[in-house]
Amino acid sequence: MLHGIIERLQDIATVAGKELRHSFRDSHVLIYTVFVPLVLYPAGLVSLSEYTLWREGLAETRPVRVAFMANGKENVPELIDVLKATKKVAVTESVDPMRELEEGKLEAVIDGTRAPEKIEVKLNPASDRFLESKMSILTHSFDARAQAMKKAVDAAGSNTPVNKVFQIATTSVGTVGGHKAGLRDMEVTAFSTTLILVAFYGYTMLIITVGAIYPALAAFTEEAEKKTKSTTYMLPIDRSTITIGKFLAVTMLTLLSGAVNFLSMGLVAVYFTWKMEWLKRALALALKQYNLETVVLLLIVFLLSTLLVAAIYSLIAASAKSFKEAQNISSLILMVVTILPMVALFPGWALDMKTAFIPILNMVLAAKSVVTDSVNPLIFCLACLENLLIAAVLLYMSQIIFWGKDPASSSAEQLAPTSISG
Amino acid sequence: MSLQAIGLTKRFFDSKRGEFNAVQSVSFECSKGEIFGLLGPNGAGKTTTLRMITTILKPTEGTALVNGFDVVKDPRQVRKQLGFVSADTGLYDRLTPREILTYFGKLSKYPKEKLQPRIVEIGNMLQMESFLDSRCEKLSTGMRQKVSIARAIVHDPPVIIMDEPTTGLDVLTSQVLHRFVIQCKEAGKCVVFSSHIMSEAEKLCDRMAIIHNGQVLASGTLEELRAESGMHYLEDIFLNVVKETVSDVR
Amino acid sequence: MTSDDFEEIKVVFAKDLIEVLRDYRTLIVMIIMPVIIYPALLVLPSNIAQHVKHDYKNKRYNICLIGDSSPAIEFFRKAKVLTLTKVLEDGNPDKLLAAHVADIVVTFPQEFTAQLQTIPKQSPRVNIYYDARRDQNLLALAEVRLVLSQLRGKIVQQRLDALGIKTPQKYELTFSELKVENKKSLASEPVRNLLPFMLFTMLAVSIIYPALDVITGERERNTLPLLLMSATKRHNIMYGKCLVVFLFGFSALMIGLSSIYIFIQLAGQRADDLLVMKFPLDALLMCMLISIPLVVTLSSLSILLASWCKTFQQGQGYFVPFLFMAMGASSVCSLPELQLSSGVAFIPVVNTALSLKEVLAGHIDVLWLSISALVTMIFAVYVTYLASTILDSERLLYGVTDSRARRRLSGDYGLEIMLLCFTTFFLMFYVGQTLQGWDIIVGSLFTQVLVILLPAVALLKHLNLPLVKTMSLKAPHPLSFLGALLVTPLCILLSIGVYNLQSQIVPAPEAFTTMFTRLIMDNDKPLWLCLLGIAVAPGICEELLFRGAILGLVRPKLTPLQQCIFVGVLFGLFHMSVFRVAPTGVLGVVLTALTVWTGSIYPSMLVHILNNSAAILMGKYHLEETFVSYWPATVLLGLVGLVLLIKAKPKKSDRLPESLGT
Repeated sequence: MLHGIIERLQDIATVAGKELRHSFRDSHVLIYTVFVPLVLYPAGLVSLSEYTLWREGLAETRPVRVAFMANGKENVPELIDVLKATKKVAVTESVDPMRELEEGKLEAVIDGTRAPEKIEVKLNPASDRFLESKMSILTHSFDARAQAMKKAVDAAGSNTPVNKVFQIATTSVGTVGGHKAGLRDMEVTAFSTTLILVAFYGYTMLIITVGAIYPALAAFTEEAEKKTKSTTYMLPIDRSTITIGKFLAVTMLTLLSGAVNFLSMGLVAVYFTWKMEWLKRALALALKQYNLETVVLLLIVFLLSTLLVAAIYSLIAASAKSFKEAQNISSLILMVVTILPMVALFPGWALDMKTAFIPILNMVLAAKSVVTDSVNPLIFCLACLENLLIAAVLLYMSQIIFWGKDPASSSAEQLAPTSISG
Repeated sequence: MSLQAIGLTKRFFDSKRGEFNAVQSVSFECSKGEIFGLLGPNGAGKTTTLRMITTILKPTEGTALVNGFDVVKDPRQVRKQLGFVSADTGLYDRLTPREILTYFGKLSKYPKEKLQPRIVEIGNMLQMESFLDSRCEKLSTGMRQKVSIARAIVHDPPVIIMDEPTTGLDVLTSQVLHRFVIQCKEAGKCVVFSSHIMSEAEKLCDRMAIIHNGQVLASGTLEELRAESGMHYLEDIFLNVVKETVSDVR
Repeated sequence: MTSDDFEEIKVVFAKDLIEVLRDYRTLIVMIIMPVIIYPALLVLPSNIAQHVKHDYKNKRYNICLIGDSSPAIEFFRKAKVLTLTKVLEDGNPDKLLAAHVADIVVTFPQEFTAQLQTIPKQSPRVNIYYDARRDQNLLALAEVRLVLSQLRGKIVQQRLDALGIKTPQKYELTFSELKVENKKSLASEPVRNLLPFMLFTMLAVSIIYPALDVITGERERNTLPLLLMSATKRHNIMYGKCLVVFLFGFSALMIGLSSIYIFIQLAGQRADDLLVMKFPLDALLMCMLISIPLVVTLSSLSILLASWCKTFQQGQGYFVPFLFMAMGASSVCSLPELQLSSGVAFIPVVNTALSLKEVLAGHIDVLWLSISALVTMIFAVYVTYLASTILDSERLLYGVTDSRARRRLSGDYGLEIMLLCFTTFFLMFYVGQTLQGWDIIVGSLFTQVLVILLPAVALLKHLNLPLVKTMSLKAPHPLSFLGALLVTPLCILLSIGVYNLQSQIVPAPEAFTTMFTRLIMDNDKPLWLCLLGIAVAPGICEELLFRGAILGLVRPKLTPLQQCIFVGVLFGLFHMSVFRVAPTGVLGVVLTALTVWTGSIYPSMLVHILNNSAAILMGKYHLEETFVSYWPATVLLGLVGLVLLIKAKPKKSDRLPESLGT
């Protein structure tokens, strides 16, 4: 009995070893695990920041142009002052503002005739800055209102600070780090939680998925394409051993790819985050919450997600007849796997008795519960178990599908017509 | 002269072996109505030579003339003169043999009105009427090879080049192929035929060259080769020639 | 183009079309993707938003008030989302939260009512306690703050009334949209911003399969050699195949666009006021029309990509970067006020995205749209032609390559240059930025030596090339120094001019323009050290990399004009900034030309050092405008310099060597 198990494990190791060697001799694996993380992420971040600067430059050199209707101007002096003071808005004089608005020479025309009860703002929906000008004028109107009030108080000759009513202070009993913190930290806390989640779900899921496609194809589909399946079939070991061995290799490569990508992406992100004071504090807070327990739990979640994704792709690769077929299905799965966990980012979604049974999503929610320090051991374990179970079922299905068609009979089929044709 | 190889040389590079000449100044010629055999073991340079003649590879040195057109200077004209059969070229799995033949016929500018009759004629000749309209993915190795041959000759080229066409075929299909080669010869085509099967060469070829390690070691008609070596069977002659160079090298 | 060519294209087109169509399993995926997935991508976020909204409306948060809460209590009672569970005189908020009695605890001072009546020097403090670990508490927190601001508003109003001051009760804005009748294809802004991005993604996903199938598939099935052996022109084969890809891309796009249209008609109105989704029928039809150039461009690019791939697997590997690039190109649509007429129409790929945006904004400028379409067509034809030249590459067909030694002997250092560029970029990013973050001046000095000079010298040493000869380290004609000196102001003027010109499309924000000066100003280092770190060191090291190593390596293969452009463009890209690509690129071309002309790297070093020093000094003493105003003198000096340089042209024997043999 024990001997049998050991022998079986050895067989599995042999199969997995062969698949690993096979994959590592392929330059693509190296490209994906080394070149892409080292060069693509920095390049991506550089281009992103350049893009942001470019946008900023365009917005600065082409401010939102606003004109006031001539006869209402005296009613809204505060708004004019406030808008004139900001750089992103340019208050222009215009003889016929409505026409210029229509011609796209203005983004907005403000009519203060019936001010202060009603101030009408006309916008051109065709403008590139439609939403921007709307938001910009709206926010500035608050300042204008405050100014108007201050003016009125001043005009009344009263020097009482009417505005001084009370202060509000916000304290969180437990930040993610477990410390009491003020309002500033609330934003930081929310941000750091989001940071981890985004890193975990979006990034990891995508990377695991992208990382799993190639090894799975190499392990399963290639046997069909390169016609080595029948040889493998005839090996004197159990067929499930081969499937498990292949699956293990896929999992290991996926883990590796995920880990390398995660690390280098993390490095680049930390690099950039460190440059901004506010983000730096969020990051410090995010890092502070990693104690041994959270790290272990997150690793479990990471491992289980990898297992599941590897199982999904093993099934796809095992059922596909050719690379291109597998590729097509995998792009569909890629979308589902990366979009579904997005839900976890919305407030209120947590790991409970319902969500624990939605695969993929439950792992991200489990990670969320870990970083927000609200792990319910029972539900957490249930989610993990369910994940394992699904992975096992998928693996079993790929075993059946991969070996389903008897390779011996298909080769016999191929031989038959030859003799007839002769 | 229909086909003339003049000092064809192709240099390859391999990180383990370094630079080497896969083909080293190979020259031969073949005229109309003649079958020329290129004999050699695996890796001798037969396929590389034929690929240079068919303009797929550029010769490092030397050239070849096909019906008077130079493969280096005028590859497009050369392509019009050629039909190429090989065991390792593929087929479009999702097309039927008839569609494939029509496609290549049109690409090779065979007169449109004559194309369909021509396909029927070839179908008869190669006994492939039964599967002309089924998709290639369903065909057996032998059937596929017949489609390959048909495709090579659908535009009725004056020069036919065959790279180990019988590899992997059973006796019956090989027989059809051999008959076809002889038919080509009778129709006045120039046929270049590479093989490592001596009996096949003995049976079909008018003249032949033995190629090994990229070099032509001996060439001539079967009689000439027999006279030169004093042996009867081509297999013995071949082994003798190849062995000599091996001992020369050592 | 003759009728023969059309015939050839038609034959290839017909065959490949049939072949792709017969692969029905993948076709189904191709149809499912646009019909279900993309609308789903739109549905999902809005549905979730609805769900969250619903949740928010129905969710009740328990709230406890501690202390003198009487002025506020009515507001809290009125708040729909909050349920008042306890109102205490005194208590410990931490305990209440820990016992889950409340989600939020608000504490008031004991004499709060009294404090509000008078206006004390120290305003009273209201504390909110909550648990940030539960993310929905943030919603409750927002609600509590809203309630408190209502209280504050009421108190302020009471005080103002007491003082008898009439203030503007309202300063309320009502927004209205201008009716634009002549712009029928006008879609609302969210649609305008999102749609090009979705179309690019959708298209990239749906064309990659046919492209790989018709080209890489031929390679993998080994049918390509036969195709290459046929008498058909190779570029015609490619055009035929490109048409097939185009057809599939276009159909997928039509299906996708239609389903997006239907979705927006059905569900778009539900979104709130700000993000209203409007997508009129005219816009859909115009979109379909204007997406033709887009499909053409991406089809030809995917054909090029597929030609590079030996196998499907490889194609899959290249696909992800391809997708990212397509997405990146579509991002120009979210740049405000960028228009085709500003010159973008001449930039392929990007112009198709911008055309889409302009049409969706109801702005149909036929002239520029046609220019953009024309540019696109020429680009696509060229790219497809380029793909046809890769098709018969012996390396891709049979893995035939030349040995490294032979490649280098023939002067082909492409791979080495690529390696050098990647290494430098990588080091610049990690090492260079760290060093400069630590200290801008000293860090820059180290960066120049370690990141820029060292890899270049190491590469030349590794290749066993003579440093002096390759890097043109030899004394030029003495006059050329004088010439270079006189030309420098003109070079500076030139890069200022180019910078101003490119600002039309790519204006730099103030944060960027002042960054450099700020870095120098805020530094307490002496001026000489600044000059050494930012002018002299780059002048030497960057010249040795670009005008030395890289120019030396490309010299055997490129003509002098090509050398100038290649090295110049590389020099521009090296600065890793959109605002500096053009000015530094032009400067790079000039410096390369100087090196090629004089046969020596020293004059270009001189110009480079002077150029950087001038930038520092002009920044420090705000001299730029003064400098520009003296332009006639600059031009005159420059002309004299050019004459001197022409005089100083070295004899043939002294020119730069073309071969690099050791």
